[in-house]
Amino acid sequence: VSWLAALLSLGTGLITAIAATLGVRLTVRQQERMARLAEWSQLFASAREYALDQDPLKRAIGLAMLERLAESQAAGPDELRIIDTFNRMLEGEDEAKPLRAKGDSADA
Amino acid sequence: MRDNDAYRLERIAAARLRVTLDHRLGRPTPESVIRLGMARTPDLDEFVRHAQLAITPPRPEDLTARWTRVLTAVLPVVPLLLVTVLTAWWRVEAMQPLLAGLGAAVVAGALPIGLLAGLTVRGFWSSAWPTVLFAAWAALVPGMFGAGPAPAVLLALAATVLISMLGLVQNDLRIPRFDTRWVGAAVDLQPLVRYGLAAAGYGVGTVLSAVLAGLPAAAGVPFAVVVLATALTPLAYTVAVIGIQLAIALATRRHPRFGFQACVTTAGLLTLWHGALYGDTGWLITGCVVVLAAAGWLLVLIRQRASAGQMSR
Repeated sequence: VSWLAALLSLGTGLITAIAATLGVRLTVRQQERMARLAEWSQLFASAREYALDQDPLKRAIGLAMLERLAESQAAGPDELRIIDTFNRMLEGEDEAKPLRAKGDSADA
Repeated sequence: MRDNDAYRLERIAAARLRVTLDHRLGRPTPESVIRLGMARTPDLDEFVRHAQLAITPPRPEDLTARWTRVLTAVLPVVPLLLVTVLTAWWRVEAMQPLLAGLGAAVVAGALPIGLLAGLTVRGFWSSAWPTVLFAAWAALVPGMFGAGPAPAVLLALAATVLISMLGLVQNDLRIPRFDTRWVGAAVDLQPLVRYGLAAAGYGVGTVLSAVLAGLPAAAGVPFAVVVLATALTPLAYTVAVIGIQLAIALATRRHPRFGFQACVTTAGLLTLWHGALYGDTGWLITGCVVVLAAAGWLLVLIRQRASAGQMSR
């Protein structure tokens, strides 16, 4: 009878440890995702500023940064749509007013 | 750089962005855009790297944060250790309800304080602190009720403290980050190591506690009670740990105060549950006080939120 109790103890202990591991893992993942998203948003704000600059080189840097941000694991469907909408407005494809004149980026 | 080059870089960057977006959103891309996007531009990559470094400079080592981590690790464990030593030393029956009540109060009080401290230091303790605390508690409970031999209880607690210290040391180690070529897609091994250590701490404490909880069978306690206590205690810990994890998840999002309130409620309910299971007045009273305080706090928070909502309208 005592071995059954010990076995039961061990089993429930292990189940508890697994459940706790899953709980911690879930929380850590969520925190990591939130941290990545915060970092992503900060970089997006900077990339947006660059992409709207008067200097063509800064615009190139901004667009390249947007590309990296679009490829990032932190970018979910919503974030991709944000970049896409911004890019369309930059290119003047959206119904909204283009953010930059089309002729601006043409070869001189 | 000449303007012509800059405009060329801009066109290439725009084409690359378009290709990437189309690819990730599952849309077709015109051949001409793909061809333009494939052009090699090492200059652009270099510029982007510098621009990103300028935006997010590396953070200097913060000594205050390190000391906060050390205090966060040590302080909550000290009262638990004291209670265990006292219980083991004076195993007088008359002292046990008092010590049990004191232990419950320490746990119920230390939990939100520890969480608060843990949340101020981003990283290990924000997720692992409750786990370590519960590991210590799990090791503590059998000794508190005179069920386990004192050296074994102390051993369990020592193992828990040791593992939590390992977690602390690990926090200061430089575990390599395997950066991929794209920014934001870095593979970071630190969280894996952190929650692995936290889970190990909890696992050691819980398994030792469960083994020790089987010992009252030899001391003449009815078998049904032993089985019930053995089976239900770790399950109650599981529920509490998951509750606290959810509370942390809440606390780190938009409503931190509701998260802390949930932590206190969980601690109070668990204390109450222990009091009911073992018929201990000290635990029952402490649990009731904590749950009532948590309920009052919740009411205050709800009223504050409602008034804030009215003001914003």
